[in-house]
Amino acid sequence: MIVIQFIVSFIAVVAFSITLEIPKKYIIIDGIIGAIGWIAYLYFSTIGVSTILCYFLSALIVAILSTILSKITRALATIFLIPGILPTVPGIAIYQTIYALINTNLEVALQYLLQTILISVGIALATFVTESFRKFKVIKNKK
Amino acid sequence: MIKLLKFLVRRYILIANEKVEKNMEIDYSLLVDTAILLGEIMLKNGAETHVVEMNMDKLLRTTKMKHIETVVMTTNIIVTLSDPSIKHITAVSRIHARITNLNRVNEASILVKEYCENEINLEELFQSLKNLKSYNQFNYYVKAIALCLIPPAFTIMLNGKIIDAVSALICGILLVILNMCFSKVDLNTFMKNTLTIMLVSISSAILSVILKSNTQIVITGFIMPYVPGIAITNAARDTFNEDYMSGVARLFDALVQAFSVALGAFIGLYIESLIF
Repeated sequence: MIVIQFIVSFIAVVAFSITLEIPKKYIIIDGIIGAIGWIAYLYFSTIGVSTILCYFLSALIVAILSTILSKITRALATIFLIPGILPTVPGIAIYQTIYALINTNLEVALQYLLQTILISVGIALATFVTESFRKFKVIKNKK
Repeated sequence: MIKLLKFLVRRYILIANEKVEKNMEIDYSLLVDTAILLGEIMLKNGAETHVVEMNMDKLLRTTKMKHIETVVMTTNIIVTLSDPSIKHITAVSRIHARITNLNRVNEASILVKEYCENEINLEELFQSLKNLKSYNQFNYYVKAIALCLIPPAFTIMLNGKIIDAVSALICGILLVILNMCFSKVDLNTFMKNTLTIMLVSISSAILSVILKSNTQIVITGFIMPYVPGIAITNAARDTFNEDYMSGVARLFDALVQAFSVALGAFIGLYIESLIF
């Protein structure tokens, strides 16, 4: 099951990377990072971690990997980050929110809206934390 | 257009001649033009605002001027350069349509790094940025095949069966054909998205009758390239980076896009419920 999910998410991320025009030489690496992020999310969701923490942890793994890779290859971190978080971003949740709103199903809309906010904040927090630590340095006193 | 180019080239030749007279000083107006061009390329192709600001700052800091300001918002760029020794230079640029092409963003940032390390000079940087402006690394067919493959892959990731993936593949091919038709029509993005999703969701409902596939899963598969998941995550990231202007702008951009997709799917499913 996990092998199938890995292969399928790899294909999905590679195909998405082509439509986003990721540089050619990084596409395979991006597919692997995206697949790792998706498998990490599946793993955390099966062992019963809370929803926001699932997304946060899987995005944290992706963000750390992309920071390391951007240090090695000197490419922008975004090149590895965007495809990495692709399988977990709350695209479907925001679609369901608006769909329920059009359907005047306010309770469902609110539920999906909260889900969207939680997921996006979880992922953004993970990338923000990693970025802050990358820029971290001790301030020298000016004379 | 050609006249404008000729005018620009003449201007740059004039400026270049002046530069020789001034004992190889840096041409500040060309530098500001280059910074604006860099910002345009990066912002138009989907870089985050703080990355654009950082790169433009890096380019302008090579002059060691006293007063350097770059303001980048989601739709416009403002650059100011001034020093007691020269006149004020300010330039403004407005960005209209935005797409995602991360290769151009990456190449632009590499060019800036090369300039800062004195591997290329300013004219070369300006020329290569100009060439980069319309550079695509994949041709149309590769992108079309990739777009076809996204829906079946996502249906299996969302616990779909093989038959759902087959149905989603047919929907993906339909998406490509519709994209090809709509690229020849002058229509705004909102209506294009709505009409595409509407037509494909009607056909997915028909496919669910023929192939016995799950319509809901197939729809979630093929709207995946259209829903603004990345946009909404970037909105949250910009907000965390204390960039509230572009955070809110991106949020509303994402909401409008999601609305266009949801409207298309709703109308499609409504028509389907009338037929069957």
